[in-house]
Amino acid sequence: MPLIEQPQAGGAKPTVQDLTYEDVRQSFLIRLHGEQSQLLVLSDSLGSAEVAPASAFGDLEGFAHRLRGAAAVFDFPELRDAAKVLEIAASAALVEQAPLNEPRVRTAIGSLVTRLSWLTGGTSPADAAVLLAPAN
Amino acid sequence: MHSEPVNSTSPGPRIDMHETSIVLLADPALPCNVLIVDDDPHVVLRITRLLKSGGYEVYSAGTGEEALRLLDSTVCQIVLTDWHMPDMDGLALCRNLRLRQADGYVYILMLTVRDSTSDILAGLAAGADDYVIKGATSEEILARLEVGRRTTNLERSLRRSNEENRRMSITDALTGVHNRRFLMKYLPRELERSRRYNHPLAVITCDLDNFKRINDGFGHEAGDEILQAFATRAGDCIRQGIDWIARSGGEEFIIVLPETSLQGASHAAQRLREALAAHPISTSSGPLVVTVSMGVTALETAQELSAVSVSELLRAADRYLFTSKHLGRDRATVAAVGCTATLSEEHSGGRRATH
Repeated sequence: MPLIEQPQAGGAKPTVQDLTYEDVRQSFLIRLHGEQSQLLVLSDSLGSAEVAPASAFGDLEGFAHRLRGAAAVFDFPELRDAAKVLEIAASAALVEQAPLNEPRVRTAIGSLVTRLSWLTGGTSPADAAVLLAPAN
Repeated sequence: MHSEPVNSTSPGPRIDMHETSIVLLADPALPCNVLIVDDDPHVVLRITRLLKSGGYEVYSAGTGEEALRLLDSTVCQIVLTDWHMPDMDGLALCRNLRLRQADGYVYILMLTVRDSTSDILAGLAAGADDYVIKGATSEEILARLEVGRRTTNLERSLRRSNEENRRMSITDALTGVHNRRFLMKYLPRELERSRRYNHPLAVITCDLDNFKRINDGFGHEAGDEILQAFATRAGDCIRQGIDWIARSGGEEFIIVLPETSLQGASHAAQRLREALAAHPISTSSGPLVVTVSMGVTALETAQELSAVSVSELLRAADRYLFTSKHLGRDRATVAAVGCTATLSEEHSGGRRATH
C-alpha cells in the first residue's frame, strides 16, 4: 500500500491512525490513473484476435466489479454505477458467448473511461469518446 | 440504604436473577478483534481506519484462504468479508468458518457491492450474520459492527458462565475436590478405561474419625476447616492429573487411583495417614489432631476388571473402611475386592500387619 509504506521526510512511516479519510481517498484517486490505464489495456484486448472472448469478458467483469466496490466505499456513486454497467454487460456477454466487439460492452467501457478521465483530471470526456470509438 | 448508581450508557445487557442463577454481563472492556477480508488494498485501508476509530483491533487478509490461515493463529470475534476474491470467495469463507471448531462464536459481516435480494439471501444462507452493501455510510458500518461486538461479548459471557456452572456442578463447594456427582459419572469411565487397557484400578474410601465430636465440640466452622485441610493434604499425597478425590458425603472422601495396584494404593493410604498425623490442623478453634480410617481395594486382574462393577468396587472399599473403624480407627484396611476381612492387610500408627 504505497500511501502508508512510503517513508516520510522524518523517516517514520505513518500508521493507519495518522491517515485522514481524505488522505486515503486521495490515494484512491491517484490509483484511478492506473485503473484507467488497465481498462484501456483490457479494452484493447477486445480488438485482438489472439484473445478468447471468455477470457476478455471475464477479466473485464472482475475489473469492473472490483472498481465498483471500491468506488462505493469511497463514495463515488457515478463511478460505481458506470462500473456496474460494465460488470453487467461483460457478465452478459460471457454468458451469451458474445463476440469480442459486443456493442454493450464497448459502450460501457466508453462510459467508464469517461468517468475515470473526469475524476483523474486527465482526458476530457470528449477525448475519451474519440479514443474509444470503434475502429470501423 | 446504599444502592449502586445505574449507568444508563452501559452497552452490555445484564440479566440479574436470584443468587444461584447465571449472571450475564457483557464486558465492554473486552477487546474485539476484527478481520477484514478484501482483495482491494484501498478498501482495506479505508475500513481499517474506520474500525480503528471505533476502537477495534484490526487484522486484514486479501483472500479467504489467507483469512483462514490467519484465524488459525489469531482469535477474531468479527470477520468482515467481501464476496468476490481470488482463491476462496466470501461465501466459501463463511461456510468454512461455520464448519470450524472455534474457541468462540465468529460473527460474520459481509461487506460487498452485490446488492440484490438474492445476493443478500445467499450471503446469509452461507453463514453470514449480517450483510452490508458497499457504499453504506461509516455510521451504518460502525453500528452494524457494534451489533457484532455486543453479540460476541454476550456469547463470551455466556460461555464463561457455562464453564463456571459446569465446574461448580462437579465440584464440592467447601473443599474444592470433586463431588459425588462427578464420582458417579467418572468412576465408571475410569473402570471402562482400565478394562480396555487391562490396567489396575484402585480406590480408597476415607472417613474422618470422630468428626461429629469435632463439630459438636468445636463448631461447624472448625469442622469445615478440618474437611478443607484434609482435602488439601490428601491432594498432596496423590499424583496430580492422574489420581483424583471426590467428597462422597459429610466427612467421607473417595480417592480414585487409576493404573494403581493394591500395593500402590496401600502406600498412598499410608502416606495420607502419615500426612494427617504429622501436624495438627489449624482451625479457628485452635490446632486439632485428626485421624482417618480407610478402606483400600483394587481391581488388578483382567478377570476382576471385567467381573466387578463400580458399585461392587465401592461396596468392597466401604466394607474395609468399616473394618478399619471396627478395629479402632486411624488405620487402613487393604484387600482385594473379593477378600474377606480375615485376609486383609491393615496398617495403622506405624504398625503394619497382615491378618
